[in-house]
Amino acid sequence: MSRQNYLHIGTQKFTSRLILGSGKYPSPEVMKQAWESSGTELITVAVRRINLNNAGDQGQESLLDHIDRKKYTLLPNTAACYTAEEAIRTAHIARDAGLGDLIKLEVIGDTKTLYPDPIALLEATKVLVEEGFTVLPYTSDDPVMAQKLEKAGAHAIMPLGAPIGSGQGILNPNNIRMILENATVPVIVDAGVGTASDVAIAMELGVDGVLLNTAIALARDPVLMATAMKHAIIAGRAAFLAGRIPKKLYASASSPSEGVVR
Amino acid sequence: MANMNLIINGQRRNSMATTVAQLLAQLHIRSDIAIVELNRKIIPHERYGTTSLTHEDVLEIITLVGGG
Repeated sequence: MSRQNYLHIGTQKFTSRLILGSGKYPSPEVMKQAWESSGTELITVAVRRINLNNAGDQGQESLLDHIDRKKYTLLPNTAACYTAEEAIRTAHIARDAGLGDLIKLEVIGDTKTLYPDPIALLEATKVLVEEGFTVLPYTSDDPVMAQKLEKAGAHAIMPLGAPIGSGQGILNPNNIRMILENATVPVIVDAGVGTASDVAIAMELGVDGVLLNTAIALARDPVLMATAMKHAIIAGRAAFLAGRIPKKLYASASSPSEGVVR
Repeated sequence: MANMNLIINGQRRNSMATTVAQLLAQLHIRSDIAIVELNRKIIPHERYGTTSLTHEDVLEIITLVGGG
């Protein structure tokens, strides 16, 4: 179980509790520096058809040219899949191509909110678990859905904090807490964080990790934001383990009230 | 070799290529970054040169791209 020094996902363990995406960066150089500054060890990537119409032109630079596979573990995702079938097919392609059996499972239900389709997600989770994948489903913050996914064999629960790329932070910390109370697999907030405090808040709730992309990639200074995120993960986790004080309505003085020179 | 009808990434195309490797070369696609699915089976990289294509083969030529 992952309430300890490592983030345990399936049979793998990671020292960093930060998982990053590989999209939307201003350049490959900035992307690599941001990854380096963040301390991440796990990077999610998308699986797409090659565009046959411009294959010759661009000098054919590829994302793969910029990922040091010795430093980073790849986590293929099923982003932009709208049916269980599409997601399952994408997972098969990723695994057959030698990327291992880790899969970030997304089955999207709506183009504006990019909210998951819970029914298709549950169906795809069951199929992929049965086929031996290590399934990390991106889900809403619905505690019932989280329980169903875990019961279906999901190896982690990845509730969103807010819609993908929206930067709104943890909109419903109470639901994240409810999910944490029931989960026996790692809980990783995936989507919607905007800045370091959002990540710290998530970690202080007790989640096992945070997955983010836009908050770093589209920050004014992505490399500096990546550094901030690294510290936020560490600070939030330590604060959680340290056991915070309760919130009180009234004051409770820190200095003794007796012996004042009056 | 005769011109073949293939379905590549959902589109019908003609090709004189007789192997996967030749097809990738014809399309100017780097074989090191391409994942090739031929009739729903992923072809290992080391077999690109020896895997033949036939008329009406269905191919998906795929790669990894940035995403969140």
